[in-house]
Amino acid sequence: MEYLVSNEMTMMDKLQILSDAAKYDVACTSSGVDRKGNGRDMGNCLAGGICHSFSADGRCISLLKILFTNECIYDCKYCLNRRSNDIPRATFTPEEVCELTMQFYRRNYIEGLFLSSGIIQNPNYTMELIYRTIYLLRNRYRFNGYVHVKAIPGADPRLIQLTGYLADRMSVNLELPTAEGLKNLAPNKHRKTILKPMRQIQNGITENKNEIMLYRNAPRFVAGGQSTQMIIGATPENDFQIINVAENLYDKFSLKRVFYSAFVRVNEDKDLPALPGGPPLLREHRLYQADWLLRFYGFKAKELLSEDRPFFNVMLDPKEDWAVRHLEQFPVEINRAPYEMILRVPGIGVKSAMRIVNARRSASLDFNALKKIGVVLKRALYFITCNGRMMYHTKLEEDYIVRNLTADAKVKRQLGEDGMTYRQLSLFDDTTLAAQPTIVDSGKVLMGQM
Amino acid sequence: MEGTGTENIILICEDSMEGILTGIYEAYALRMPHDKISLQIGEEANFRLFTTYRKVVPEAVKAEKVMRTLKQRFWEKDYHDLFMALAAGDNRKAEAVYKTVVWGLSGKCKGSILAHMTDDAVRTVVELARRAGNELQRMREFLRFSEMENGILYALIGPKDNVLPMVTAHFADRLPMENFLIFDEVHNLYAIHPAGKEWFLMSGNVVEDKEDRTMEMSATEEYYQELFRGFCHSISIESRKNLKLQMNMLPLRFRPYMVEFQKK
Ligand code: SF4
Repeated sequence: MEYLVSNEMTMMDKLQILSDAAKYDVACTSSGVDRKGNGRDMGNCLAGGICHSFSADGRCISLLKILFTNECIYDCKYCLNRRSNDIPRATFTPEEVCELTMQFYRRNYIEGLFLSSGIIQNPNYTMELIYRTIYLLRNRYRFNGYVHVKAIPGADPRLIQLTGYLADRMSVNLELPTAEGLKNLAPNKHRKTILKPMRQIQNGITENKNEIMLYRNAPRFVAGGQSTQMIIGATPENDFQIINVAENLYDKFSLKRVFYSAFVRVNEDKDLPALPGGPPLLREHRLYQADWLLRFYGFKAKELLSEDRPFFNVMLDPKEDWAVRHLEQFPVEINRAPYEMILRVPGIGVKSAMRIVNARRSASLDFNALKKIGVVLKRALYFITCNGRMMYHTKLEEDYIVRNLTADAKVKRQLGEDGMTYRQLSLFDDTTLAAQPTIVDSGKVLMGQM
Repeated sequence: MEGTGTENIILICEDSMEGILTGIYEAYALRMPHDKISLQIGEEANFRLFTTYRKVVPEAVKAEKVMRTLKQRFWEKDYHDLFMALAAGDNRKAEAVYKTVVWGLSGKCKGSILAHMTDDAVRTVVELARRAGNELQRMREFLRFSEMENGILYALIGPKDNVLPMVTAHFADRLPMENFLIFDEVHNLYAIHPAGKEWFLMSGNVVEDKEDRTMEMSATEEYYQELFRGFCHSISIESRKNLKLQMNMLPLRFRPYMVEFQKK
């Protein structure tokens, strides 16, 4: 084709290599920012985010997720791009990244750009390239859509600061749950160096919020918040350790999201586990469910697991598991229990719980009424009463309930089918509790145009 | 019936926002108990006894009056949902919206009316609004523009619900300086957005010859389609392959409209 680029690699080759190299980064959400178009430049953002397609692994494609380069001076054992691997290498130019983003965006292929990178020359040099690209994209190409960039640990804080004013979301990868694991598998990385930019971004966001309260037009700094990810199953940490780390990140670093990435063995290395069953997908799934409980359901990590029981149950989801071990708190009376307690009933989500508290204001609810307002009772029925009555003659007894919950669950336990799908987990993550984005004047628009 | 002599009246409305809102206006104009009146879209096959059928001719002025009232009297979110419900491709919408409006305007209900999901009409409205809302979201996600030789972006969609207006509003906000054209082949409607100007809808019958549909693609269009197809392929992780999950997330009916699923 006529689109040959320098060093004789076609754009197609580059995109292939640099998207392939980026695919293990799990965060692909475009949520957390609500920004209307400005009537001039291309792009806007919807708080709920948009998934534009789904790849053959069922994961959402929302952003043009690429590395700037897959060259890397580091040698992380779990990573395809590590220095010691002999693989084809490619590097974009800032203009190429911008051009691709604009052309994909206007065709509605993507919500924006997710730019990460291998470490080329040194962290500063790498961060500068990333900054330059985003600067161009925002100022020359005038792109107003979603931008997620990686902050490179060890880079000059000023560069990270400048980039933060252009990005909607930033992330620093924790890589592995503990400093111990990091030392074993990523010898060039240190926990401290990773946490430093994370803290900087957190502080930047807090300060920015204050600025915006004072000056409404102050530029936004990482308005969509900060996220991170860790690899699950490459190192021996248990689930209890992992969710404690996550809880810490939410509490102490005000992260918007923690992503979990089931380890995929891309390199032959004696320090990596064998994983004959493939990537630990079910484990990853349980961690996402637990993460959800931490963020939206008021659970604490230590309620869900303990030193003595450090792993999640394979058969039950974390909420069911918690419930059957705390039967003294059940049954929950639908017409009187506080919202927080209704949220803890297995099978009842945020939406159903809200509907229940809304509906019971005008009438006392029985099981029929619950069905009518769309509450699914299949799992909840073991744990609730309506005006003192259970739905059937079920026993409030651990073995009995577990047997029933898992009886027909075998098929449904397959990933993505037990009620909390990947889509819900990834797409609506930041907006579950926020108000629904409203279309202003949709009626008027409609009528005026018809 | 019941000795009062009042029969039931069914108002037959056109399947459009304007049609149904005019129907609601006419229902109030009858000054009869609302439980004697119902709204219906199109003719019903089995006629009911003791029932008068009346056709409602859509009138913009009446529809707008109803709309203004709703806007004043309903919560913003409720107002929005009522309109989403009216876009649903489901004939129950006219009656459900009408009865919800009656209840809302009666003043008997405090707060958000759509929170009262134990009521049948309200529940139907909520269900339809959710369904149309989902379809709208799907269109925002899965619609694909192609660049034509004159630089115009063109998209073909086939939504179940009549969401083209909302879809267009979304893209007009997002791509203000693009000339774009969206054709909804199910509802036979065109949305036209001239760069930097207001967009408008046109019935497919009005657009003379269907020339737009045979426009040539621009020189680089194929190139970007190919790049995106390649991207969708390389971004997938082989050892996590899960076509069933992909199918749940992206049902087959959308794929004919999407470049990444078109084998070339
Ligand atoms: S820094 Fe480590 S994880 Fe990142 S690209 Fe280089 S080798 Fe891979």
